[in-house]
Amino acid sequence: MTPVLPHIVIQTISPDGISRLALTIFFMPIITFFVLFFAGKHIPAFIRSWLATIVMGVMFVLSLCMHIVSEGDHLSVWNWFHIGSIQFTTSMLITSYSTTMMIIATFVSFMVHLYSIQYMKERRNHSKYFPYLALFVSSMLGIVLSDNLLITFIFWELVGLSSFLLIGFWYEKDAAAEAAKKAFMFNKFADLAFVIAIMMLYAIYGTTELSVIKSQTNISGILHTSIFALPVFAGFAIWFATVGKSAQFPLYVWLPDAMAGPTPVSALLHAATMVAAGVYLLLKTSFLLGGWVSNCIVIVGCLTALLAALQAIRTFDSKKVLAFSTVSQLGFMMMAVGVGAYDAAFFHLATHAFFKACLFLSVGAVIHSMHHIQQHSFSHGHYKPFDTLDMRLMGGFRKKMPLTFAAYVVSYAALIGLPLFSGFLSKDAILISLYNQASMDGSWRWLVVIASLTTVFISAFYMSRQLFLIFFGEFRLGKTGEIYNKLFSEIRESDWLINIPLILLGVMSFWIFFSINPLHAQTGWWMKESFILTHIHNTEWFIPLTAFFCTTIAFLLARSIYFNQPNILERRNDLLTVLSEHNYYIEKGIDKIFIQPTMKLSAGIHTMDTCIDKLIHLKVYFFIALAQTANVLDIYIVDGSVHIVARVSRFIGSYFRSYLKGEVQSYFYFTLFAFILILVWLLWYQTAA
Amino acid sequence: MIPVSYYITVSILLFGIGSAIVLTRRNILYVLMGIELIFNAANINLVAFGQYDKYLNGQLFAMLIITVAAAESVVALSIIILLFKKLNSVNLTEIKNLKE
Repeated sequence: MTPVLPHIVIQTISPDGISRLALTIFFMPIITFFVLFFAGKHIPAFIRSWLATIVMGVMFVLSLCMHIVSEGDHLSVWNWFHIGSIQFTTSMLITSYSTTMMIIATFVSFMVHLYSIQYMKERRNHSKYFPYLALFVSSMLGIVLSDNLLITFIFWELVGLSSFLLIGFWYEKDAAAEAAKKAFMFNKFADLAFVIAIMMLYAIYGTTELSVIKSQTNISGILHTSIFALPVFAGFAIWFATVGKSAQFPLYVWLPDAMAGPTPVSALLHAATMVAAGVYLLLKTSFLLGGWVSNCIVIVGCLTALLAALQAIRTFDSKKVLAFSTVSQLGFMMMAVGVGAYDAAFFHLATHAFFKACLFLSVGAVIHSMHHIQQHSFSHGHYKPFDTLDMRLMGGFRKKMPLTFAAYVVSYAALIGLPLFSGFLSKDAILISLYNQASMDGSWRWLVVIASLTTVFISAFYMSRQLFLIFFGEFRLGKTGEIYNKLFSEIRESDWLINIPLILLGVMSFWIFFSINPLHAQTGWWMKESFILTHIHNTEWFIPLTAFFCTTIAFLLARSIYFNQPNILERRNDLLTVLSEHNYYIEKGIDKIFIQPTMKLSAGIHTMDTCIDKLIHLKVYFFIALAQTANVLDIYIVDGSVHIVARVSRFIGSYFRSYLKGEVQSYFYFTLFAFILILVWLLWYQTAA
Repeated sequence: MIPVSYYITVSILLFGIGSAIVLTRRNILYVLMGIELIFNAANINLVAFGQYDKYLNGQLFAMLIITVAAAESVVALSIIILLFKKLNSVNLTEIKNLKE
């Protein structure tokens, strides 16, 4: 009998020391999750939050040790489960990529945990917050470590689940519940592609082990024979899965809405766990990408970067600006993946994780004090709610919160890519790789380079705009009521638990942690062989200079418009505002293209169904009529004939009975009469014979 | 040897007398006696024709009938007693309960 499944047997490899360490790190947040989730209510909030934070700190230290000690690749394979005689395996692969990613994830989560201790203090549902964070981190580590697509998929879904739980953490707010649902639905839609990819790869290779698939795939060879081969489509499907998780056009619309969650969660989501998962998965499965799929990634990444950056210009919500900027930066990473500059993509992922987390946390600190102002104004009898996230109402926070301002400025500089900061290194690495690709292939790739330079320009513009609106000028909310000015003057720098993460993350924005040479990533040391960029081109100074030029112009432009803006800005009514407020009508488009036709189709099917119902009813009525006729026939003809027979015999019987009056002697008389008749008949018969 | 026709004549006479009693008398006890006569007419016939049988089956059968008739007359008499107790009469003109 030939086997139905194309399954192949994988030899198990027992884990070595490094792998055991990685497993230990991986299981720590899972244990934290279970302990805090089930017993959290019985533990005091203080112990609860510090326990989760310390576990995360230990994880960070262990990851760091592991990164220093680990050399080369460590693959371990276990037997997982078996169906009948088919043995499924699971595996874990530790490379310098994954150890680096673990450091990023654990460090940022450690910082976010520290920050959350103060930020989430005495908030509702506090006992569920830290277990959710732990689940989030452990699922991310699962994606990073696993080398089996099935396991990766399980953790991929867990990341989706925990993001759902955390975005909708304040689910009594309608916006949060809606945003959580939206994030979940968009991600689920994209995850469908992941399932398809796994099925395709299993059908081709008979295993879901990435190491085996990698050794058997030669994507350029496959592309040479047929550009529509199955492995190419598997790569496409995996890319589509990351379009949802890493918020690419057109599925990025859930990310700005996800700002409804707590700010530390946004920081974690944007830096280390959620959106990084998509890019990381693409890096892991990069051997499947090539040809038209890569072009697709570049074009969509470019569109995402440009469109999201444009939206950020017109947004006044301080967190949404950062969300759009994340989307835009993810577009950059995807472009790098598309042109095959995986190191540059991962480098940008790493630097972006630190400065974006820092930006979120520092803006979160500002929002925290805005929140305080609102609460105090309520307690002073001022029941006029205002949007605590609105940048138009902020301003002048520079003098009130100098440390937050410093952290913000440092990570801001990293994001817009000023020299001496980490963003400069990674962004220029991506730009150079795009430029190199364009100069090799030409044609439309030049448009990509121009678009990404424009995005650099726009990014610098909207970030400077945010910087000026939040930290410079005067406190514009004070113009709406004198009480706010009084409350604003009482604002102080936040608690040290908030400041320490800001300082540590802000420091990580400097170049020195990534490369000794502040102007080139070639001398990367911190991440070992992950970032030894191979693209050395003689025009490599042209691109950084252009980018720096764009940034400066954008900065000056933003300064001229928004610096010391005294009045609360009006919402502009131009095309870009309308487009960005509606997310370029993506949701409406999805509604028009997919949902409405589906609704129409279902309505049509419903009508058809009612028609079928009517037909069935008609048939039923026909049979009822038939049965009624049969009933009538039965009563009057079949039963009737039987009754007639019965009636005739009853009539005859009653006729004869009428002669019998119940007298014994008359019976005897009749018997005798009959006897005589028989005798007569016998005599007659005898004589006749 | 007495010819069979004599027996038959006696038997016919007995049958006729029995029938006449059954049909004419109104007292139920007389009717019962008439029925006994009819029985005996039949027995005579059996015995008469039984003399031609080597194994005397007729005679044996007559014996059986006598036994059965004795038992039967006991039953009949007890029925009559019950009837009398219930209706307080032995007159057949008053006993018309057989119909239905």
